[in-house]
Amino acid sequence: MVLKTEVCRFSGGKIYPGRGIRFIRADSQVFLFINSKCKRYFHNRLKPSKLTWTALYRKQHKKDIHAETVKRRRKTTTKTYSRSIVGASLEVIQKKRSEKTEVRAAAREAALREIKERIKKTKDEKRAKKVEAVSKSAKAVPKGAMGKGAMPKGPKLGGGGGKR
Amino acid sequence: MNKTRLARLGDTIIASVKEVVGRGKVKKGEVVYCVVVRARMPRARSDGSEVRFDDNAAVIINKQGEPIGTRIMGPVCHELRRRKMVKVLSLAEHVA
Repeated sequence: MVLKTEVCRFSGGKIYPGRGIRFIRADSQVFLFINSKCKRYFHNRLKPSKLTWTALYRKQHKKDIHAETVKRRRKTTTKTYSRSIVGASLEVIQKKRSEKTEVRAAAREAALREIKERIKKTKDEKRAKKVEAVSKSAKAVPKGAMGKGAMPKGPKLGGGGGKR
Repeated sequence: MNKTRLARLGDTIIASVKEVVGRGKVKKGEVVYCVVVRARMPRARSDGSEVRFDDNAAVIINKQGEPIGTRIMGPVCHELRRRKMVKVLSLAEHVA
């Protein structure tokens, strides 16, 4: 047994099989009415959107929408993305996601410390180099002229090359 | 024909042509067979519902049940299927 309930075109009510009136207009449009009340109103050209008991009116004036929206909110859940991105494979992402905050903080501190040490190192190295250079130039004063002469030649040549 | 002399949707009737538009196959004053395809009078369907159309219309057919014309305007009722008027149904633009 096929039990298909149709919908009344006027009131929006369910029409069970065996009930209702089917009206076919000259332009081949089919109208289903659940009872002669709806049919009468339709033929008297009354608008369902102006009659408070019809489904169309209720939809327009937003009745019973709160319950629907509450239901929808309950259903929606945030989906966590589980796809690999360029630069970080799926395993890497999952590993990072499963890390605890303490572990992350510790890792961050460690990284910062590393960077600081590196900066320190480079600074020290630079200072040492400067000191060496100064001391070298101080020692090699007689040769310094040649050296100094050689030194400026370097950059000049480079400059000459660049100009070309 | 029907003893009650009442034609409903899907019934075949004998009619006389009153008005002719253009040069058709039928002339004014001719007596023809037609089948009622649309009727304002509601007709009960087997599933219990009722069907009614906006106007009354009939299609001129020959004695074998085939339409004389080449086109059928407007919707047509389902009852013709039971009467085995397949050609009328196939020519119709909408079967309701």
